[in-house]
Amino acid sequence: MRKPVAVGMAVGRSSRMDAKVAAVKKEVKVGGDFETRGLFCAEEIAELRHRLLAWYDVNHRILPWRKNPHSKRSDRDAGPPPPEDKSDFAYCVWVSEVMLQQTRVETVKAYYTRWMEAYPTLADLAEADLERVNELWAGLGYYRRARFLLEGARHVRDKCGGRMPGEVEELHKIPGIGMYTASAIASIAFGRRAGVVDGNVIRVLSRLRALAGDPRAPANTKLHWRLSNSVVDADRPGCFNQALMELGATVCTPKAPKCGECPARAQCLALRRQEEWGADSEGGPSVTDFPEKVKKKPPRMETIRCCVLVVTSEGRGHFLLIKRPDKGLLAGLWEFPNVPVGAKTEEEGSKPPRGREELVGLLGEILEGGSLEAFTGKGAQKLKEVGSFEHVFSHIKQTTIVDVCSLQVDAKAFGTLSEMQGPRETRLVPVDSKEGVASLSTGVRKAIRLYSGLGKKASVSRKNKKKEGKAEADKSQRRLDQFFGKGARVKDEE
Amino acid sequence: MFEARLLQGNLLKKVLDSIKDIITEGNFDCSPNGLSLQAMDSSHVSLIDILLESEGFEHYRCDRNIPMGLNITNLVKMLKCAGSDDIVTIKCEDKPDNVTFLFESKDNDKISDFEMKTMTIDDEHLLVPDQTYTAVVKMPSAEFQRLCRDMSAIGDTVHISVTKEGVRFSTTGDMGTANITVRPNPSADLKDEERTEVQITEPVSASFALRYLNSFTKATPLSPTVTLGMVPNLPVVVEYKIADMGHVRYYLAPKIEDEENGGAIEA
Repeated sequence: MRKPVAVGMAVGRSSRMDAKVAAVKKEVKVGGDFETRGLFCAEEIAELRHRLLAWYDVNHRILPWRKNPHSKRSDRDAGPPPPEDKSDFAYCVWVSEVMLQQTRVETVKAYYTRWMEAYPTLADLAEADLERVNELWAGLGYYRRARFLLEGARHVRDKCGGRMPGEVEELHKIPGIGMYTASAIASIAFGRRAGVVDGNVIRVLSRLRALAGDPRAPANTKLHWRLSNSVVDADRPGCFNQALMELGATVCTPKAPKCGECPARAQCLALRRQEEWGADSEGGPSVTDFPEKVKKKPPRMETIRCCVLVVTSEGRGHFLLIKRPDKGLLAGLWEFPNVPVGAKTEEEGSKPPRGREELVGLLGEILEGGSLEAFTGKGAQKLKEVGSFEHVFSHIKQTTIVDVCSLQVDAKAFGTLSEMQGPRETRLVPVDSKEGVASLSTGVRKAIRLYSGLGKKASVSRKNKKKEGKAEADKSQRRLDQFFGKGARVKDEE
Repeated sequence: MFEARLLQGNLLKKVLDSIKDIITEGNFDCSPNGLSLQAMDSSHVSLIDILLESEGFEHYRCDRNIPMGLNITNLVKMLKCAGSDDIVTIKCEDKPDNVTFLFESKDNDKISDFEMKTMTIDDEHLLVPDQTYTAVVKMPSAEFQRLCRDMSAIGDTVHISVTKEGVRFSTTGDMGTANITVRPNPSADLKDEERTEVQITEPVSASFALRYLNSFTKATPLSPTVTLGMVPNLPVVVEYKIADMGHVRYYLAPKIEDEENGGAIEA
């Protein structure tokens, strides 16, 4: 068990602390003539650094990309030390930070390890092709990030002599690296004194300083950057930044912060406010009043109809996929041929199914390109609706209606279809290839699951899909696999 | 070979009713100790763990472990053909292609038998650790069912917090919030199964999806009481004991608010 942390350490400070405060006064301009709203004083900064780092060294999580040479965790698996070369270390930090954006730590672990196996160094990544990078990223979402990583790696190879720069400004110039990532890399890998601001830091800082107002408004973002830059520890900036984010992720959580465990509770204005009101404070001020919650714009609703077209030649079925344009949503990824479906028009829309005609038209075009017999009216009858699923992108809630159709073709037509170029690039993925299917985006895999559910009773599969769609939209719902290990079924010895 | 005869065939119907909303197929494991099943729902959020011990059967014979993969939907259909007082016998070979179900009416004036095809199910088996629970709550199962139903009229997620004083269930929805607190009532006037008991070593709280809890309460006819076991940051277990026979247990993963990087602010 951890020792309880004394509250109100400001009284009776040690002389060592005084020295630290003096150091802080020297190193940052505290207060000043300009806007001082919410800024920390030197004493607070020294105290905060000391407490946060001490807490972090004992409580930090053990993650594949994390290096804390000061760790006091007894159970830590020492793991490989950080790469000797700062540029190599910077690359690891970069990959982990990019993956962690908008994505849960649990999910990132496996992806990070696989990525590092595929591209151990920046030079390896710079030589990679986008197709393979996208495949490795499959399922992680926000595919733009993968493309940016690749473009960034090429930029470093071509413009920076193959070595990661160590300064925030230089890092910021790399495509895909913004202020956050640049500061994170500079502080963690190069030990530069640069603060970071992400969702976790915003939460922690706005509670510590009881900052009202929309935290994402430009003036407030600026304030958070200033706060973050002023508190970051001079000796261990990387650890301090990670400690601040870790605190936000594990203790200073959005809904039920564990203030009792918080190393910074003596400095927390939001907590003081809550305590002044009284212990049983139903309806009184709460730590969770900060940061101010801003209603997000609801996502746009969109419906598309896609066709899982299975092309069979010589007894082996293949999914026909086409490539998305190089720009925009899911740029350059593979998907089933699909068409947008207009908004639902009352009852009359039930027959024929919405968008079916357009979809048949599209399939006709694609297959015609493959010098097949025209995909005639008969083909349209072959299409069978198997259900629909929902997928939520950051700003779009997309419903996909899935049709299924299978087609027998001869070897020649199969060859053409397998690699059509031009405006509509096509690709065939064997139905039974687990690896091939795993490299596809989540949306495509959901459609495949509907297709595979065909063998079962349709109504059951539809019910399941509805459930799954819902569970997937809810990021807070954990899966049992994260808690329980896999075991073998009891088998009889043969 | 495997053969088991159950006097209260109705029990089997109730067990199936308690799982049919959650899984569509499952491997029943027949072993010398009894008949068991472990299965997760398709989204891997909840897990069912059933045990029917061999002693609970009138006759039980099982020479070796036999996995019996069955389609639950079809099994439910088939069990509909059994009368509620029927005696049920289940039989199969060591490597079964079929499982035979025999229903005998109580007065022995009607005998029906059904043969059902088995299927190979590749499901993942999870190791559920033997846990000491930080908080254990025992309450009447009907009351728990009612509570879950009432909560889900308001919201999707229920926050359960257990303290010495009692168990507080709260939820929030579009129309507002609801809180229900259940207090331990050790009053001597109550029968054992009407009491609510709370045993804790320290207060625990966590959030769960009501949709799953609601489907767990389909097991209510199996037992007058239900027991919840909680450990911080781990799945909750909801247990219905089957008298003299075993249990139906459900494990449900908690909902935990974003533990993510929170979205970098690229200013």
